[in-house]
Amino acid sequence: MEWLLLLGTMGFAVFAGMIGAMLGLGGGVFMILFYLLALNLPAHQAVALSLIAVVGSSCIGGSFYIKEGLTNLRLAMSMETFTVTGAVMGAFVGFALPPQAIQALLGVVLFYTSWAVLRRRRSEPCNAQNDRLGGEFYDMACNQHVRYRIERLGIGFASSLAGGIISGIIGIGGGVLLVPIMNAVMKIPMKAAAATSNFMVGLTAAASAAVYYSAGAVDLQLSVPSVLGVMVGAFIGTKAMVRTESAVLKKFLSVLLVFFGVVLLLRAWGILSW
Amino acid sequence: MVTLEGAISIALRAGAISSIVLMMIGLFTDERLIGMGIALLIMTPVFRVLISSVGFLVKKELVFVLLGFYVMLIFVISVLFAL
Repeated sequence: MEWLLLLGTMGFAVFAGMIGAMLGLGGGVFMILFYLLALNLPAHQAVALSLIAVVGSSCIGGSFYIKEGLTNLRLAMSMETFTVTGAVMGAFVGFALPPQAIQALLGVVLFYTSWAVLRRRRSEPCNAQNDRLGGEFYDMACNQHVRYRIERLGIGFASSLAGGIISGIIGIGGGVLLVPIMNAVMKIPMKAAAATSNFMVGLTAAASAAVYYSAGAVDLQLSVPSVLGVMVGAFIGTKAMVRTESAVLKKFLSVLLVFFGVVLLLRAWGILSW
Repeated sequence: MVTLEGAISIALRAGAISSIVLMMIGLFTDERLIGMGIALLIMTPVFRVLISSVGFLVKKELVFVLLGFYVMLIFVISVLFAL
């Protein structure tokens, strides 16, 4: 194994882990693109390595966010039942439906969620009446205590199931769907949504990663710089996120959702394949 | 007294750091250590679900205890199917 390849993989993984932890996405989709386009790995190996990287990023990001009080543990545990169920269902649905149709649909959904996140211009609530699943945290960037409640829980659970199914079918973290839905539909402040999603994607990815690992699809040597890189990146990303204003994070997320939407539409048209 | 959130934070960090240390040692010595590190990493989120369930059991919030055990059951079933 060439050292240049290991260093290049680690460098890219730092970037993926940083963005993934900042926005609660896990960073899997960046890693898949890198493995496929830069390293030319077979699809199943790329997905397997990507899933393991998401677990690493989620563990480091999750350990920091939950200590800072940003992660909503009760909400995460409630939504996880749907994401994990969805991830298992995704393995079966993936065989029954044309993957191009699923990818094209998700691409359109991502364009919509990008618009929905940006459209919500009014400032996020900072003293809403708390409910059982609601939460509160201290926002370091604007120096205030934020308390929030959850709206449209049913849509949130349905989105969790969809996020899990999509994760199971195409190997990207469900965070790309969960974060915008949690923020724009369930009215969860951006930072709490990103932290809670980051916490959840690790478990969803672990369920799928275990399957790939058991099947021997993991390139052991490449896994080391990938996991080390995303862990370093996630550490940097979490520190940056708490000091960044929610409005900036939302703009950044919207741009990335459009990017992911384009990637998925290219996959649906067969221009990109994995 | 360690809070539930504190215990989960420690478990996640300990699992992640232990696994990457094993993997890095394995890169220079025996590849089997890399495999062990990956297995430990994959089990870390499951372990934090276990800690959450125990924590909610202590707090007598049985709904979250059941949700945690359901998630662990689904995880175990998916792994068993893969073997």
